[in-house]
Order: sequence, then C-alpha cells, then structure tokens
Amino acid sequence: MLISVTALFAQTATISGKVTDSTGAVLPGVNVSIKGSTNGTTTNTSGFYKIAIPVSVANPVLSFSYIGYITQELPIQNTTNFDIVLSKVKSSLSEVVVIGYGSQSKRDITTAIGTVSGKTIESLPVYTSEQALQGTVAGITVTQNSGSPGSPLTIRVRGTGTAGDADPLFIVDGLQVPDINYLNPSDIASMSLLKDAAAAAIYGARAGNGVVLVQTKTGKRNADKPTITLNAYEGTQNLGHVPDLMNRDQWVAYYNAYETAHGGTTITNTQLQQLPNTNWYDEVFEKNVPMYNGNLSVANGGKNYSYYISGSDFNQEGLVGGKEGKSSYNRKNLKFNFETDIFKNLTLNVGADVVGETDNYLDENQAGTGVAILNYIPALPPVYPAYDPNHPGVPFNMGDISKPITVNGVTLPAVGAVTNPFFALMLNNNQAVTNIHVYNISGTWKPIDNLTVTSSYAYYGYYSAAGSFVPALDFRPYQNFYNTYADYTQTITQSAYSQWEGNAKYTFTNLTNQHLDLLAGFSVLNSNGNATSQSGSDFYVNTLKQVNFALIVDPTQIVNATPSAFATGLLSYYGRLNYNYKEKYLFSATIRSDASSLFGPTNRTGIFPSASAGWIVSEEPFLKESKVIDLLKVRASWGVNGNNFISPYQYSTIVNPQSGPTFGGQNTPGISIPYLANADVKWEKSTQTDIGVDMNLLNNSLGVTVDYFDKLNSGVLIPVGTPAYTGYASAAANIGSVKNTGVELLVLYRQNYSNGFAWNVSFNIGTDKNDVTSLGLDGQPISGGNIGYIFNDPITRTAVGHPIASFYGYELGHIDANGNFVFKDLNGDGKIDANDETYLGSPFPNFTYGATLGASYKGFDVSTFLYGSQGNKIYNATVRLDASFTNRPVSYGEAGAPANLLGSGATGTNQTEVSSYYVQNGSFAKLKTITLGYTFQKSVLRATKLSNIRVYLTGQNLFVFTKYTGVDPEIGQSSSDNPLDVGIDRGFNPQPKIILLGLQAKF
Amino acid sequence: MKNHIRKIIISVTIGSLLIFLSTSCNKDALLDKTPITSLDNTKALVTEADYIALTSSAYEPFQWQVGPYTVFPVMFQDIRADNCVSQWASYWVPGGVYDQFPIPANDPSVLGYWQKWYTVISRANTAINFVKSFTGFTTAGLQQRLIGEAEFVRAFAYFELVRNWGAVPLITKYIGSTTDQIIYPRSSVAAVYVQIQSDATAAAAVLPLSYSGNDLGRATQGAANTLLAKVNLYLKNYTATVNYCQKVINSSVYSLEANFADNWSLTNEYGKESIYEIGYQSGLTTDGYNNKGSYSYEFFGFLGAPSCFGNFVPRQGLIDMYDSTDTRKNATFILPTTYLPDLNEYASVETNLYQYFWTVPAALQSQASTRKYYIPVQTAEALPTIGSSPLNEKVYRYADVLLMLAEASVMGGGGDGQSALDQIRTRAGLASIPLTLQNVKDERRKELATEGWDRFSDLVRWGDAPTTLSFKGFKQGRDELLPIPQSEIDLVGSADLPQNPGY
Repeated sequence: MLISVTALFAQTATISGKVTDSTGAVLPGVNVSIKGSTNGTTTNTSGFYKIAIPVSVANPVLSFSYIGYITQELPIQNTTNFDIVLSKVKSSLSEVVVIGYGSQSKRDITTAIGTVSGKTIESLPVYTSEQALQGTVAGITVTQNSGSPGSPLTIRVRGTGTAGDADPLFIVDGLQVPDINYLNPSDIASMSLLKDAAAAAIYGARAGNGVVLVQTKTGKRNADKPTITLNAYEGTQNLGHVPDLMNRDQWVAYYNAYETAHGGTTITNTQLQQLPNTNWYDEVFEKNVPMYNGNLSVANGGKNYSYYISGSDFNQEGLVGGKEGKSSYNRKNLKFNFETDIFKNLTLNVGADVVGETDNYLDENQAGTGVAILNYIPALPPVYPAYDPNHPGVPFNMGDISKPITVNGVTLPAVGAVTNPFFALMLNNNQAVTNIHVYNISGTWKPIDNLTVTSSYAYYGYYSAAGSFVPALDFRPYQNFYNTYADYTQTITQSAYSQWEGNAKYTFTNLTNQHLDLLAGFSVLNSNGNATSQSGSDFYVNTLKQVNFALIVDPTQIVNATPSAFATGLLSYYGRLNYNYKEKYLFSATIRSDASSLFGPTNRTGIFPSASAGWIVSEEPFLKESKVIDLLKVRASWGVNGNNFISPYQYSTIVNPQSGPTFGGQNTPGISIPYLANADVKWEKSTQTDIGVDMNLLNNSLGVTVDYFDKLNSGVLIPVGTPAYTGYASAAANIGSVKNTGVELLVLYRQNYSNGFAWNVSFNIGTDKNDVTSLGLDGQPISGGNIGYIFNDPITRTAVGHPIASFYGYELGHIDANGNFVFKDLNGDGKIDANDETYLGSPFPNFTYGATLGASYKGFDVSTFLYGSQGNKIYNATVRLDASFTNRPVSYGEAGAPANLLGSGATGTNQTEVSSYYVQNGSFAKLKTITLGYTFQKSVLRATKLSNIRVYLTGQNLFVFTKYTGVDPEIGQSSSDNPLDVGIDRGFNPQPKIILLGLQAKF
Repeated sequence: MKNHIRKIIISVTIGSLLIFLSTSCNKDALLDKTPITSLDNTKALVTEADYIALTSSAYEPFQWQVGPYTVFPVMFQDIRADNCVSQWASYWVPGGVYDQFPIPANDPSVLGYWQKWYTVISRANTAINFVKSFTGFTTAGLQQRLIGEAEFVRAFAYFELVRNWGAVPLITKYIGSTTDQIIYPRSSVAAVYVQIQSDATAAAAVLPLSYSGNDLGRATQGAANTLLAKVNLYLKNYTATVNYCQKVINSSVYSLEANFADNWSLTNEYGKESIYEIGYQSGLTTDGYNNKGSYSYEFFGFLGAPSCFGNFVPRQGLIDMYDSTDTRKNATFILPTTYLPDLNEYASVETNLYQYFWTVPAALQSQASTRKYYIPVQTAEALPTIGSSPLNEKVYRYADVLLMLAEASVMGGGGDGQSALDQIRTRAGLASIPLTLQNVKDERRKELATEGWDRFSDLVRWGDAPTTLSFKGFKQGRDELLPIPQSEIDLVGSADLPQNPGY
C-alpha cells in the first residue's frame, strides 16, 4: 500500500509518527525499517516511533510490519510526520459464506459449514469440481471411483446414512442439479458444504445427505477495465503402482506345481526360456498420456452492470486405450453471468452454462465377457505374448480352446474366462456424447429499504447419446478371434429440472444492539426424464464413428428396448430467522415444508425444522482484551432433514406392460405388477445435532474449528421386506435407521514476514462412526456386492449394530498344510457353516484427513496437498479364481499360500467363500499435489499489458502410502447408485501419476 | 410511523403475492404424477384384452433362464442328477454348484428358481383375482378359460416347488399391498399336492384342447391332464395316472413325431408331439429375464460352434445307455463321430481337443455336447445376439405321457403299458422289450435326457437317488430337497420358514 503525503522536504530527515490499528488502538512493537538499509526501530508502548533517514538513501521507503497485520510501505517524499493505520490480515472469519438462499458473515454463522474458495480451486488444479472437495473440508469423504477420464466421484457428507441414494444435494447458483461434474472448476467462485442439519434444513426434504452449494463467478461492478484471465495447463500421465504379480518364472513354477500335483505335463526349463515374460501392465498401460486444460475468461463491470464470460476446454486421455481413442474425456464449457439494474431498485441477473462432454469409456470394475479389460490385466499370465509373434497386429488368443496353444513351440494351457486386453480393446468402442444446458434468470427487487424480493427461474437440461459398438472382425486363421457381425447399441437419456422460486428478505435496522432478518419463500421444482435404447447387428460400416441405424443391413432387425420415463414434482415453502444481540449472542432458525410427488397423498408433505445458536465468547469483557484469542465462538445446532431419493411411484400399484410371453413365435401382450406398493412410504428423516467451536488465535494467524456431530437417519428408505415368495420385488419402505457420529477438526495457520516470506499450513480431519441401529421388519440384513462368478455369497451385509455395507463372511483361522482355508468355528458348534460367518470390516474409513503446506517468497510459491483415509477395508476380488490358468499375486507362490487351484477354477479349498483372506487394509495417504510456481515481478510485467503472470509445475498422485496390494486403494462404489456395493476391487482403472505445466495470466 | 406502516403494508402485500404465485401453479399437476412407461392399475384393467394380458404375464417367467439368476431347469434335473456335468473346469460357476452335494442355501440359483415359480404363482393369483371380478367379458367362455390357464400355471409352479423343496408356503390369494398378509409359513406337502390337483382338475375342465396362431403355447386340456398324470405318478396313484394318460391319448390331439429329432426343429414348433412348450423368439429385447429369445443355444450349444459355451456336458454313462441303432442318440448328443451338416464336418474336428489341458472332473470322460437345443450355425450367426435362440423348449411331450402310462401300468395302475413302451421303442428304431420297471426307467431316462424336467425328480421318487447318485455325495434325507433360500429365511424368520433337514 502506498501513501503519498505532501509536506516540506528535509535535507536530512527524522521521521516520526504513531501506529494504530483500524479501531484507533495503538500498536506497540511494530517494526519500522528503511528499505534497502539496515536501519530500523520499533514503536513504543504508546505506538510512537522515530527514525532517522540517512542522506545516503535515495528515494527512501519506510516499511511498517507487524504480525497479523498487512505490511505497509511508505515512500518518504517531503514530510516528517506520518501516522500510520495498519489493517489486520484478513482473517478467515471476516469472509462472507454462501448459505442456502443467501450469504452470511462467517463470524455470525452458527452452523457447521465448510467452504472451498475459488482461489483454493485454482491452486489445486482439479479437473472436476467434485475433486475440489477432497481433503479440503473436514467431514466429507470424496473418493474417485476410478482413474478413468471423467470418472464420477463418490461424495459422502458425515458418513453414509442411508442404504438408498447417499449423494448430497447439489445446488448450483440456486438450482438443484444431479451432480457438478459438468462444471468448469475455474468458473466456481465458492463452494459451501452444509454439513449439519441446521445449515441444510433450508433445503428440507432433500438435505439429509448434506448439501453442496456452488456459486459461480460473476463480474464486479465499477471495474476500471475488463479483466482477462487465462488459465492453461498441459500434463502427462503415467501409471503409478503396479501390483506384485507373478512373472514368467514364478508363474511357470506355480503352473508346474499344479500340473505335478494333478498328473499333468510340466513346462521344462528349456521350454521356459522360449516363453515371453510379458508384463501386462507395461503392455497395456500407455506411457506419457496427455491431458490439457485451457480456460479463458473476461470479467468487467460498469456503474450498473457486470458480466463474466468464460470458455474452457478440458481433455484427458486414459492410460488404457487412450491413444486408440477408446478412453478419453473432453469437456467444453461456455459460461456467462450478467447482471444489470433495470430500474434503480430492480436488478436482473441472467446466466447460462452450455456444456458439451465427449466420453470414450471402457467398462471397468466388472467382469463381463470380452469387455472387462481392467479385470483381465492382472489375470493374464506373463507367458503369453500380447500379439501373434508371426502376425503383427493380430492379438494373441490365450483362451483358444479350438486348438492347442503354442508359444514359440511350447504348448500352453488355454486361459479361462479372461481374454487378451488388446482384443477386448478392439471390441470396446463406447462413446457417450452429452450436452448439458443450464439457464437461469432472476430478478432482485428492493421496493423499500431493507426489503429484498427475489424471484428466479432456472433450467437444467441433460441429453446424452451413448453408443456401444462391437465391430465385425476376423483374425482367423492366425488367431481364433472373430465377430461375424458388428453390433451396435445406442441409448439416449434425457432429463430436465426446472425450478421456479421466489423469496423475500427483510432486515430490521432500527433495533438497538440487535440484528434481525427474516426470509420467506417458495420453490417449485419439476423434473422429468426418459431413456430409450436401440440395438442391432450387421451394418454396412464397421466403426463407431460411421455407424448408425440407417446403415443396418436388415432394418427389420433393429431391436428396441423397453423405454423408461419418469416425472416428479416438489412444492416447498421455507422461512428463516437470523437474530443476534450485540453481535455476541447469535440465533438462527429455519423451517421448510416440502411436498413431493414421490409419496402418496397422505404422506406427501414433510416439515423440516432447525435451530442453531452461537455465543461469541471473545466479545465478552474477560476476553476482549486478550492478546492470544482474537475470536472464540461456541455454537450448537439441531435440525431435521429429509431424504426423498427413491424411485417414483413406489406408493401406488403400477402395472408393467412389458411382461408378456412368447406365444406362437410372437410376443404377446402381458401386464404384471412388478412390486408391492407401499402406500405408507414417506420421507426418510435425518436428525442431527452439532456442537462446534471456532477460534482465531495469535492475531488471526491461527484458526481452529472443531465440530462434534450426531446424526440419526430414521425411516431409511430401503427396498426390502417383501419375501420372494410373494412374487414381487420390494418397494421402498421406511425400515431402518443409521447413526453417524464423529468429530471434525480444522486447523489453519499462516504467517507473513516483513521480508516477504509467507507460509501457511492447514490440516483437517473428520472421523465418522457408522452404525445401523435398526433395520427391516425384524432386523433382517440386506446383502450387496455380488461377484457371482467367484463367490456365491454377496460380499457386503448391512445389519443392525454394524456399519452399512460391512464385508461379511468367514474369518480365516489359518491356511492348512494343503492350502485349504480353515475358517474359525465362531459359534463353537464343531462345524463350519453359515452360522460362523461374521463381519469382516467396513469399507468406510474411521477418519479421512487432508493437509496442505504452502510457502511463498519473492514470487516463488510452493504448495503440497496430502489426502488420506484411515481404517477403511477393501475386498480384493481381483484374483480370478474362476478362470483357469490365470495369473496370481506373487504371494500365492510362497509358503503358506492358498492351495494351488490354477487349473481347476473356482472349486474347493474354501477359497471361493467370502472370507477375511480377501479383506485388506485400505488405508492410504496420497500426496495429491505438489506445486512449484513463480509469479513474475510487476517490474518485469510493466512493459507488457499483463497485470499478473504465474507459471507452475504440479505433480499429482506422486506418492501413495498404503499397505493395500491392489493397484490403487482409492476405490469408491462400483456404480453411483449402489451404496451397498462399495470398497470391492474387481479391477479398475487406477489414478494416474500426473505432471502438469501450467500458466495463469491476467491482462 | 407513517413510513413504518407503509413498510408493513408493502411487506404483507408481497408476502401474499408470493403465496398466491406459488399456489397458482397447478398443485395437482405438480404433485400427482402418474406413471409414464408403466400403467396405473386403476387404468390398466379396462378391456377384455387387458385381462388376457394380465393372465398371459403368468406364463412369462417360464421363459426366465439367465437374468439376475441363472435358472435353467436342466441345472435342477439333469446336472443335479447323473445325466450332465455343468461343464469342464470352471467356466460356468452357477452350473458347477449342481455338480455336487450339498447345494448351498445361499446359492443364487436356488433363490432364482424359487422366485421364478413363485412369480408365476403370484401373477396367476393376481389374474384369478381380477378376472373373476370382471364383468365385462364379451367373448363366451373367455373368463373361464383365463381362470383355467392361471390355475394350470399355478399348479405347474407348485409342482415344481413341492418336488424341489417339499412343503412350501402355499399362497393362493392376491397380495395387493404391504398391508396384506405377506408372512406365510411353510405348508405341508400334502396340502400343496391337494392344491395342485384341485387347480389342474379345474383347469382341465375348462381349457380347450388346442389353440391356433398367436395363442399357441397357452395351457390346454392336454397339458392339464399331463400334469395330473405326473402328479399322480409322484403320489403313486397309479390308476389315476393311467386314467389321466388315457385322457390325453384319447383326445387324439397328439401323436409321436416319426423322426425323434423333429421335436427340436425350428420348422416344427408346437408340433404334434408337443403337449406343452415354452415359446421363444429372436429379435426382441435381449437383456436378462426380458430376453424373448432363449439362451439355450449359447449355453448348451456345441463348443466347436461359434459363441457357444458348451455347458451341460452329457456324462459318458448316459451316452453309453443308448444302443448304436437308437435314433435318439444322434439327436440327443453331438459326439466326435457326429456329422454336423451346418458346419459341414464331423464334430471330431472340434471335439478331439476336449480333453486338451482341461482339468476334466473325474465324473466326465465324455467328449460330447447336448444336441436337442442346438440350432444351425447359420441361424445362430444371424441372431441379434447369440443368446436369443428362437427355438422353443419342450416341457411335456406325448412320449412322456406314454412312458408315464407304461410305468403306472407296471406298478399296477392298469392300461396297456407294453404297447405304450413299444411305441417309444419303435420310434427310436428299436425292438420291443418286456414291460418291467427297470426297462421303463431306462427308457424314460433315454427319451427325456437333457430336456431338464424329470431326471433328478424321477430318481428321488423311485428311491434310486441315494444309490445312483452316491458317486457325487448324495446324502439321503438331505439332498432329495433343495435348501430353502437363505435370504428368504433371513427375511421371514426360521420359525415360519424352517430350513430343510440336513442343511
């Protein structure tokens, strides 16, 4: 900050003055120094200083620095007396936080809200918006489902509270959207995470899983010129961890052991030398796979308008099949926000986000015939070549049972059930092209002082066309791989949300020592969607790019799948009261009423109240003078939220028209009742109490936030309870309750020094204890996570007294001399049966944590970000026991290993029972990012029009600390809509190691 | 003060406006959503055709083979007995479970098979409930026929349940809501049989002898009488068995195909020997239970042909039963010596490799595939997916009726058992043999092998299972019955749904 004061110029000057803070209080001990010299002094107890300026110093500049305050520099021109006002370093508590239907000073907030600023997002650099929540907010668990480009993330706020849809509610600029994957992270101004019930209660019925509020960027009024910002990076990706699988020699030894035991033919040492030693991870995972992101934005504002326009292009290729175009994700965003005063008291706001996504994807975390490439990679033995040695480009068929398989003259067994990933890549041609259009318009009217009336309309439209193409190909006679006719399936999915809202807010201003504001409003939300699918075989063309149903050889063979469609509606009223006395005693209460079409007329409406209170202890006389404590706030909240994330029409008997048999060779009309209607189905309720403390210490350089929460989901909507002998599937019923309790801690420390060095450190940790407290008609458990091709039993069980989706099976006592699994006879009845099965661990962590460390000095900045998860278990189902002669981890060849089942597949020795043998410690700590940046000095930029330019180098996922033996311990749900199939590794795309070079420039 | 009042007035006005605006949206249109791609039950059942469709849906689960569960009947009869092995090695885990005893209570297919037949029952109960109360039928006799059809499939399904699980919950009422009774305890075997006979008898009284066109495949009087014959054979009411068999024979609707293999010809669907069959067609939805085609070719088909899995491998012991001149042998198996016209080669070209490197289960020394549900490669390749074979599945053949008559006759039920047995032998190109129980048993096995409806249950009712199946660990007193699905016990409680003995 520069201050010019005109006064008399002195030949040799002594400068003196007084330093105060913004309230006028004197500041003793402030460092006062002359830049470029060693002279310096400090202010005395009355805040006065006196310093002599040597003649030798030309154009002297005084520097005033004080911990917790912004350093000021002052060129001495022609005056001798300067009084200085130092302003405090902006503390985190003076921030304004976006809350439901409004914003509030962080200082006044009495609920548990986590925030992520746009600045944090810029520094990370993330490619999907959900990633920005990972590790940055305590109490939220974000897991990337896989490292595939564009892969969705699993977000859980304060644990999983329901067996149904456990995703939080996403609100972008006031509009409910299904996820925030579509957003360009650079467009985000702030994200607020409403964690406790009181914060979320203004969203009532849909807030039971927490709420993620996103505010996008806008222009600022009265800007002197347009601000043009360019953000771009280019990166290269590589595979990180490779599981410890058998190499050629180890596998042949393992194979020989099996053959010897079963009277088969072994591979001789001479033969072994003829065999390749294929590392399938090396073969399949590509090196230095590119990704890039470019984002350009313009923001400006005049006296009565402002705008923000941005465009971005993000592209990431996958490590598997990326270069062949089989795996990549591209997102293009065009975004604008514009606001202007139409009249003096009426402001109009319009915005749009037009998004195009192209996703080329591979199937993963499943084992399908021919397509599950990522499942095949760890299963293929190293002794087979990737391609036919004599015919380049022809993938080798190690599963051919039509003739003996020979590799360099050595006869090898046929591998069961899995196939060459390069062949699978040829079969895999999946592309989803998605268009998302978001529009919003709103008006804000201030008819009188202190009253604001807002009405808004917003629309979210989703259109996705996904094509899957299997080309016709024939590698015979070289390799027995062929597909006679090309197959093509196209699925079109559309959905739309439209929302109309209105509210009025009144602030009482003429109350002595008190503040009161009131908000009341309504919301109307319509959503609908449909899906249709067509498939056919035998086309005139043979690539995904060219194929369409006009080019099918026989149009009468086009098969139309049964379409599906739905429509839902939600009508809500809400109100909120914020009150404080002397800005010391804070109180807030909300109420919301929601009526949803998902429930029957008698249960349609739910009422969701909440209350919260806070006490700013540091405003009390006994703390007000404290030098250590700048702010101390204790707060408590209670509230009820809902969850209505169930399928439509569960309350009424519906009739499925597509259930006719075939009579006389033709389809016959058939109608049937698919599930037993539950007329009583109603809102799932989530009641939560939160107690928290916010502290700012040491001149606001240290911030601490602690929260304890206790969340009880009751009436959990679970589609169970109907025995199969009724012939019906179960409708959703309110049967179950789940309790989550935990503690969250956030610590921030930052320090700036007068020499320009600054550093900051932050740490957050959130614990969660998940317990199912009641379930079902009589507590019957719910199973999930089937891997039918290996295990008969489902992998997870949700039951009273245990965390949701706990792994359930036998506890391994020991592996006997024959390699048989000997399970523990837990009930002591002398036999091992289903009654001995037990809970083997939870896929959910005891706690997750994030830590950042950053420092800057003279244009250089460095930052690191670590994310970790502790106590979660992973069910490692990557060993394909069912598929004969597949590869195994190295440990299977060691002493005490499970019996060698190499050629027999999933039979015997208890290996195919769900057991603790497969449950592994999934704890991990990942160095998510480490960044080194340099911001060019202003003096360098003066010649250009640039106001700011920064270059940076970032490494992502460079180090992973884990005991998990699979390829990546960060694993989410197998699919986004099944919270009971979580933490099971069937083979998925690991997250790549990334090196990025980026540029940020402002004009 | 004036200013204050003005503020209050404006606030109230705006507040009222907000409430007015929000309620002015059509609240009913917003909140009363009717299903779009399914029907509201109050609107679904209006015309006669709707009631036909409601009844037809009870047949649909017969077509279920591979979906959430794998439920080929062959698994529960031929594999579970001594006719077939699921497959070499381990390609096919769901079938492998039926190669050995005991079958685990948590086996997904146990639940699937249970659910399949109970879904038939549920839909039949629903159909009977609504059809009975509908007064708008205009076609004479249609109401009675629809009820008869529903009674037949309900009887058929309970027969599947009782012979596989013994005493099962007996539900004959429409369950319409969660407030209706949904906890049903296990009934008794006798009560289930009473219900089956009462349903099948009622059905036989009203069902037509035959259908045409688009109704081919609906239950007939012949099907109901065949079911009654079989049920009485199981109950050892041999006179009644003979009686019902003769009803079928005397109806003169059915006769043996001259050529045994014609029973599984795509050009001879609903042929003269077929009393009841499950229809399939290609070219419609091909996912899971919605598949209107059959997975039989994909799963059973000859391994040497494109995309076939070659599951359900016939055991050598079964193959060895057949005389070399038995025409059924070539129609039942694909052996190395079998000439396949569609491939224009001998199967040996492909089958010689069968023992190659595969870990052959001890029980399996055969080099064979089943042939009855094999379709020509050219037909198969033109299917939208390989899992949508249009070939129908035979459930009751006239040959079965003749063999039941022969058996009941041996057991003292009367009738001309020798003549019935001779007809089967003659058609197979074989000479007559004396009518003895063992001869009938052997003939029955050979005639119906790999079709999936009789072998295991025959062994159990004959009392032969403990000896015949001892080689695969059959335990008397346990393995006659399947375990009640564990998830069902978990749900209902073992007080109402106790597990079968030995599990």
